[in-house]
Amino acid sequence: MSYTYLDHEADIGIRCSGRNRAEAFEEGGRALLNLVADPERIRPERSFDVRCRASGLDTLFVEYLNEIISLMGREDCVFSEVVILEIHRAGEEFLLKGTVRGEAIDPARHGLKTEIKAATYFGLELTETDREVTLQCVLDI
Amino acid sequence: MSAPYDIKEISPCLHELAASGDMRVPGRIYGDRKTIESLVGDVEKGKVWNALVQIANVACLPGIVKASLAMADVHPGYGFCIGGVGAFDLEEGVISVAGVGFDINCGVRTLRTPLRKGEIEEKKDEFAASLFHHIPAGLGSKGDIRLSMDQIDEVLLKGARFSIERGYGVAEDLDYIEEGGQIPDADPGNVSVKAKERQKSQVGTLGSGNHYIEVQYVDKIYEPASAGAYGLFPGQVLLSIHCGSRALGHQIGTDYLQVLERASKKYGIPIREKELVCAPIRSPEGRQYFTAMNAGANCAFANRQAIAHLARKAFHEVFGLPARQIETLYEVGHNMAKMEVHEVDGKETKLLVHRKGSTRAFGPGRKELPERYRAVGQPVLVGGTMGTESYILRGTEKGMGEAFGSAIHGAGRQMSRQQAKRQWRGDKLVRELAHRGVLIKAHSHAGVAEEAPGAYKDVANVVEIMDRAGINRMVVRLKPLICIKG
Repeated sequence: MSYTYLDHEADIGIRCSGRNRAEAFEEGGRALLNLVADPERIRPERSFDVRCRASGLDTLFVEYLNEIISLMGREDCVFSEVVILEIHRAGEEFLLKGTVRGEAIDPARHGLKTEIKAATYFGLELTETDREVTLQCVLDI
Repeated sequence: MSAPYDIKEISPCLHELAASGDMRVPGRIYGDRKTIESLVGDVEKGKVWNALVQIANVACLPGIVKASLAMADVHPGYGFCIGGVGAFDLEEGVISVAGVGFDINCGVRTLRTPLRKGEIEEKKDEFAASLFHHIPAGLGSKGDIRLSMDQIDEVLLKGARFSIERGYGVAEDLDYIEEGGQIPDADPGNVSVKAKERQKSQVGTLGSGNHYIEVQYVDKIYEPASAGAYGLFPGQVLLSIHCGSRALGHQIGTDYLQVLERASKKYGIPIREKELVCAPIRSPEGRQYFTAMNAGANCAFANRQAIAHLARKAFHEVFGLPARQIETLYEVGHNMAKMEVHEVDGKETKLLVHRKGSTRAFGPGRKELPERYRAVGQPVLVGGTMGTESYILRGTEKGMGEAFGSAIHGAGRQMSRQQAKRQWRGDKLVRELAHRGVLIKAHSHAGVAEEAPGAYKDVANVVEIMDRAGINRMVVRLKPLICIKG
């Protein structure tokens, strides 16, 4: 597991890393999902596409987290798994394609924890070397 | 920000951060010496997230008028500090998501009843169970109002009136809600389909986090004449609802972060902190966000109206009270950007006033207030921390002149949620508060720990600071009897 939570008075920050962009984004997604519910209690029965775009890699991270949050609300689901299929540049933008898996939300079974309003641009950081990509942002909860 | 930063005391409860560097106006912080020491301490400890820097950053935004303000419940937010107020000239100024937040028009509705404290205590468990049953709350909860996409558009246009037309409330409620419970300059066309899809079963739900319903009683009266004007008497039972625009508001904020990020670059607005992305108020992007935000605000009005009426159901079920005896005292919002007229350099000027975790507090004589309260000033409903006390304040003329008629919104956090969960256990807190006569019903014990009183500043101190500053005046203090936590 390569993510941690950062203390913030009213909200919470996520800091995540991976050997490459996809891994780092996946870790960030896992950090998010673990805040919402207990992934161990969620059956990966249904699959949803995650698609988003942004002008920068760092803002793409925020868009990606927000798309997962939005999907949870639109589909009334919680997710246990997230996979990044690709992140690539297209013109002036970055595009992300991924999948999340989970099932319909069941408050009695899923160990629900925190309602996340949104990922914000606040505290947004991205560092990228040959060996590691690290990302950070603050979530409004 | 690094030292030296020039903070001087204007009065014991008002301090000024001198404009320096790119700041167009000074920062003005309503706080005592301890408040300032805490803010400065965060800077000196090298804390990345600190409110003083946020106050300074907002002061750098184009078109800001008079000062970048912070109320006494100030703590770090994102972009704007919580308790932050920034008013902008319409021609030169900007609109910012950070000055509104993701929970658009989060606020408080307070109902007053003819009941007294003792009557609630006789049936406390039964009433708490009835409220818990009737009002959906907590993560994953759904409301009884299920909406089609067209109906959601109606909510976004009509606000509280939508709920009333569906039988959730009475027309008189509208007179005692800010903006009459409906902001006319709202455009559902600027709200995404995603946002509407997220809202389809959330109207009439409380949410979670720091959202709650609290049954309270009037414990102390500071200004008898003002309390009388507000229809309050000692020992009277009130009920307060704290929640906002739910997922729709969150999605609007998310959608417009990108829009305003592009707009900031397009219009060459220097942004000192990424979350402060913004657009000129008069630009197409600024206008789109403004009308979308108003739509989100109307959603919050509709939501609180529905919940208020569900609370009336519980009163009827347990105490046999008809709905007309549970009146709306007032409803306020504390995450909004509003078009308001204020006096600037002796002239009546229309401004866009952002209040992030800050409540409007119009003073006596304002035409926006219901006639019954106009001589006294606007009621300001300040939620205390769970199990402690809450306050009803009022706006003042001094507050209008100095702070665009603004107030605190609550106690303000002094500890992160993570730290609070490490320090307190939710089930233990529930038992301790029960010993003190406060019944807590919660959907999550972890959520209770996050909302522990110790995680917040002392609300009494924060309220007294605003009163000593003359910006707001204390009218009554309320103590809790029952708290339903989201």
